[in-house]
Amino acid sequence: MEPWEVWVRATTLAAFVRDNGVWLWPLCETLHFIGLSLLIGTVGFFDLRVLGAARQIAPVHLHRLIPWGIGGYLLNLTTGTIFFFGYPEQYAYNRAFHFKLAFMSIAALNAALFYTAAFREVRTLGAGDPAPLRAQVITGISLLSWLGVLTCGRLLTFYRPPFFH
Amino acid sequence: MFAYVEASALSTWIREADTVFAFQGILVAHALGMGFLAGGNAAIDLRILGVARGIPLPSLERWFPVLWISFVLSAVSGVLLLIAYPTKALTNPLFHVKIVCIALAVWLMQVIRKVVLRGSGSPKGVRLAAVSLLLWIAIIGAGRLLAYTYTRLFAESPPVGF
Repeated sequence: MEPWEVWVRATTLAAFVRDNGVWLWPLCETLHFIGLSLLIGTVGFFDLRVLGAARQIAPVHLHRLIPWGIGGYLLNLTTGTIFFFGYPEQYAYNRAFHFKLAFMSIAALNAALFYTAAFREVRTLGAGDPAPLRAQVITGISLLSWLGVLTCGRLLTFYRPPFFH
Repeated sequence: MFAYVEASALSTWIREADTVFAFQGILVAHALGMGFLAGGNAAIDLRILGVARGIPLPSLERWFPVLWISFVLSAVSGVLLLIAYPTKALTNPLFHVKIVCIALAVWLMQVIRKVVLRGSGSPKGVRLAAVSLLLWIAIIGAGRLLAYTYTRLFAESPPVGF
């Protein structure tokens, strides 16, 4: 076992997750699915609007739903941390988890790029206005990277390492 | 009947084919469909409940093609999962609860479209949106718990002890 894993396993959280897995695990999985739905339903639909769907809605109004997507994301960071602390080796040595983290990093960097390079233009768009190409490229990457996160997350269970510590 | 379905070529392929496009791909499709369908409905419900009031209610009708595509993706992948494991699903009462909740939620989605989005400002809207949100939460919860609550995996196998 690597030093980081020894540390993770010695935490109060790790012990709590392992002792209460029977109810905690299904509860956190359900919350994780609710969180991802909130994220897709707000950020995903905002991306679709910038890409040209439902143009009658001005992006600036749709953007008011984004805090609920951020809330869903924080819920998933929390429940995801609970999963990881319960069985760290099942994630750290899992190819699907590595890809999931990569997609999460792309999504995060891309979100920063959106707010520095595209949001100023997007917020001025009215009902029916098409978004500039640059904003469409960035939101396209956003949508694809979140779908990548979801896909890798759903596949995690099939790529678990064949050992438990 | 369950044994017949489980022995069929399609059922066996979904369960056993050594490709990510069989069981794994169908699960991914089901999760993607859920994200867009439950998430899109939740966003509409939140707007009716008072979030993002700048969005004109009638304009939300524009999302219905996306919601219906997501519904078809979820339903088709769900039927394939049912064909793969009919005994596992249909002998579990929670599965029936999930199906009833889905029927109610999709019917409610149409009611909200007609009563709230087209007839802006209906006082019933808030209650309908709240029920819709609760139904989608129940559907997600029931769906996730199916993995923990089944008592028989196949028609020919003995009950699973819990």
